[in-house]
Amino acid sequence: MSTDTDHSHALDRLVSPARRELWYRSYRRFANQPMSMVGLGIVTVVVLAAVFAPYVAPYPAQVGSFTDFANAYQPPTVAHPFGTDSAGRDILTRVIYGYRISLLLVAVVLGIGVPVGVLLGLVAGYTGGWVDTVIMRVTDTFLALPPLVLALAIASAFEPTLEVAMFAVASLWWTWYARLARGLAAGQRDEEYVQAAELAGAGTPHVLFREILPNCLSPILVKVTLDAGIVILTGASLSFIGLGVQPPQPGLGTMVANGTQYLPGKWWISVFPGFAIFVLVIGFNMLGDGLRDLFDVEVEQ
Amino acid sequence: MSDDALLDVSGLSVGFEGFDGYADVVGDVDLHVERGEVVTIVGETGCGKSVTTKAITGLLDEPPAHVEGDVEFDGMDLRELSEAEREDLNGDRLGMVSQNPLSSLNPVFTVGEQLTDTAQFGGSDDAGLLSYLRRRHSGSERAAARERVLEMLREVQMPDPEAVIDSYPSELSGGMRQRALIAQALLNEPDLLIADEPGSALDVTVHDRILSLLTDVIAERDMSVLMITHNLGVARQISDRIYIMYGGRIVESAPTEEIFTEARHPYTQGLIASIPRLSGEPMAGGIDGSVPEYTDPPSGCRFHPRCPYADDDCRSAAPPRTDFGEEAHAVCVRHVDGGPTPTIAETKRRLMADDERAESEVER
Amino acid sequence: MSAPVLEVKNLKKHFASDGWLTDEPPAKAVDGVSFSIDEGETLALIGESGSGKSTVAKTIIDIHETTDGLIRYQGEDITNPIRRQVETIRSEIQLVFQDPTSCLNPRRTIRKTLLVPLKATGVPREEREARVSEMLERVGLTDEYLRKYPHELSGGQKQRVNIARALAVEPQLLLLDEPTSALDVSVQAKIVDLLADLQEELGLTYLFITHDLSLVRNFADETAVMYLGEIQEQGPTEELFESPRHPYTRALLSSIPVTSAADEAYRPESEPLRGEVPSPRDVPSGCRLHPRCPHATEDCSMRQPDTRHVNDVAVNCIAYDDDTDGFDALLDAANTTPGDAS
Repeated sequence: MSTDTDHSHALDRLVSPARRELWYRSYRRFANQPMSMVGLGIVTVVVLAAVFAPYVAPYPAQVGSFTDFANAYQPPTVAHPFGTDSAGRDILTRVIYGYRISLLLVAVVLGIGVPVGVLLGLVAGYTGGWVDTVIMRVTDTFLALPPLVLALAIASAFEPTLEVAMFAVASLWWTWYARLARGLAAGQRDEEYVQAAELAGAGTPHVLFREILPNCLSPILVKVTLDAGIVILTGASLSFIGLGVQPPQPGLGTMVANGTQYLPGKWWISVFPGFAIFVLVIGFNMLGDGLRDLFDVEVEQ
Repeated sequence: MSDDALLDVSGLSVGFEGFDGYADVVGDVDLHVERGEVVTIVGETGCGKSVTTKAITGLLDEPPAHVEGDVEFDGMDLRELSEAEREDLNGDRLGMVSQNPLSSLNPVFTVGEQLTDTAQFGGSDDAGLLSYLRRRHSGSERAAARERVLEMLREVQMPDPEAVIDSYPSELSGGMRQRALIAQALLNEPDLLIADEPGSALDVTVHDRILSLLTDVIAERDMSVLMITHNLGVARQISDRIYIMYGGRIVESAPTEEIFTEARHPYTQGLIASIPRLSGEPMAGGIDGSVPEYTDPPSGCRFHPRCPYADDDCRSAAPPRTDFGEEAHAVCVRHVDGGPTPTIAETKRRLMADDERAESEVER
Repeated sequence: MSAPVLEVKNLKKHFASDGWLTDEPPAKAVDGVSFSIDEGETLALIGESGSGKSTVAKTIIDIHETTDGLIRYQGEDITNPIRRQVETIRSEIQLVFQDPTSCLNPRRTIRKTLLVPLKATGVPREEREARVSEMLERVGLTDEYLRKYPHELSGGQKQRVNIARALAVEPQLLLLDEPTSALDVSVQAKIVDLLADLQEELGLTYLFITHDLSLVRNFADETAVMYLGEIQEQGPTEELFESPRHPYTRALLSSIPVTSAADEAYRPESEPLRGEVPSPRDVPSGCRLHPRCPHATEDCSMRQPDTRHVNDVAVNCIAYDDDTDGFDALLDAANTTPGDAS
């Protein structure tokens, strides 16, 4: 038997061929969409600023229970680009630290919700039968609760703190991933490569995590990115009504809420934190849309 | 090549700009269809057949496609026509039958509505919305068009045409959809029918019926046809002349019988030798390798990496075209200066010898 | 003669309709199929789409549950296998799928794909890499393919990988479900050649499923022609080609576009079938072919044809007359109606 001739580039035979080329191509395709690059830029800048907040923020000391009433209600100046609030704290500094809290919320909520939801969804979709029915009915029950209302209930039943807010949001968020993963897994259960792996003797864990999961990652990643914005909004909404981040901690939603009483005269107190929420949410959405387009092309090919 | 060919394509080339660089797909394609002639382009998957017909009918979006060359249809330069003129031509003087009978019919309209629209408006240069609406709802004109559709459905031997005309495409079987598409293509009595593997997506027995139907209607109307297929048997059954395409180049052309008795290009010979035989005559073990990557095609002759005769000449320069009489030519360096040309039997022997050599290598 | 490797008796696979609100009848995909294959032999199962030929393979290998009937492997009943038998099946019987692309996971390299059966059968870790190379070599590929992803391979190369994977567990019986129908002829010939070599080398037994009769002439010892879940004609391949008896076999043969006069001699005079394959949910009464058959008589719609044996060939046809090797001409004439040509 002779070997089929290979026409791929000679260079590729030398170094880890496929993966490198795949990444490079994906990057080129992604970089060709200005919107997604803007989204990626926003998210990167915000994440870096939040991580290195103590070094980036102009007045790290003014984050919490700091007061300097002499400097209160300063409109935006060079020294305070976003102005100062009722206690004289630099709003830019507080926004950067606010991002920290928002991103922490995203990390916790999605860090719990995604693995739990995906695992349940994969098992339900691949196994089918009564396992599927039980898991999905429980999911449906959770889905039937309006998230903000349930979060309100949990938050008001316990101490209205950031930790409770995170737990409240996380307790609902997995459901969407369970649904998504279940649909993807059920679609792949009858794919021939799954059947072929089963015929080759592969066990359930192998099929779930090595055959099915890798083919579900793209849509899950897109959803994670788009969801990050929604989690931020939800957290900000909870904080806005006083059930999330408690003063003097710098929650973006809390800051918007505090500023409302000074509108419209001292607009900068709530407008800048509000705008900060808007920018980050839009950034995640643009990034998510870009990723989705990228993966769609991949699927077509 | 006579001067009054109905379709005359010369120097056609098509490329695509993609993320992986420029793909040089079709090149140096010269082909012609005489009046009343049935011509097929035969090639395997990825040989550029569909791209060629799409370039001829103007169905490629430019960009990403780059099309060059001349396409003359009945004296008109198709490449020069405006979008509107093209649309008038397609469906009127140019009929098209596509490969996929499901996706070519709109699922939300009945077969009758779609075909009657074609009968009534196909090729009409009167494109205003108001006049469309007026004529669309003019009872007598519509009824006449519908009558014409029914007649055409009967002609393509559609079972129970009165019921089919009011059915939605999803209610029809694959074979019936294919018949409806053929009827649609024939409604305006086109001068040239361009068919892309009609029926090949269907079962063998149904495919066979579609082919004999096509053969009948073509003969009856003395129509000119350009058909593409991957199946040499189909080409033999239906066509007067065959073009063999490989790697986006036409490598050989000859009257149908000549292709099967004295194919000249090693690719054609390899193809013929690879076809399984009802008579049980042993087939060669196929041709090594696969169709070229168009972003990085082989140098010289595009077939050389798979050719059992390839030598340095084949690798260094594009092969020349050699004519054999009026109607046949081959593009292979073996034919230059009337040198000894490979025969089908010799190619088959070499292909089989290649196999044995490779096997003994593997065993070692 | 040795005992058959695989024996299938009166196999039935009916798919119940989805949803509990519909009262659609079950789809009789396979409805009473019997055959057996001897060691080292090839049985070709021929049919169009909807004939149930792939369902037969998937039922044998326990992808589908058997509705009724008996499947014996090496004498052991493996119908709806229990856990221990599933392991036997997995290590003795393998399936090669039709579409070489869809049965390779796009996100796993060839090496990872080929390691799966080795891990499953408990090949020690240190031997696996050598075994993978060996498997590739057996199907005519080199080690450079190990790190490639499926999308970097041509159709023929992918099908070689699939064959390599199926052979990894050293099975005895290979079910080939249209292994070449997604490939071009020049590549198809290479794969058929490879399969023939492997059979000789490893003493494999094949169930070769295809819609293309011309492929099996040189490849299969026995051929069975399926239509709507039933075998219509079955016998030695040579005999079937030399004198096809069942109208369906004849129609299949006559619809193959051939490329030489020698082949044309094997095409019975055009005996086209009317219409198309009916739904397996709505199987015609009597002989299943009768609404499409050019030789159908009134009798054909009334009763099931009995199996008749002529020269080692089993034919299920009422109209076929084995004395004259033809069909009753009077009935023919009575039955030909104009406008039925579709």
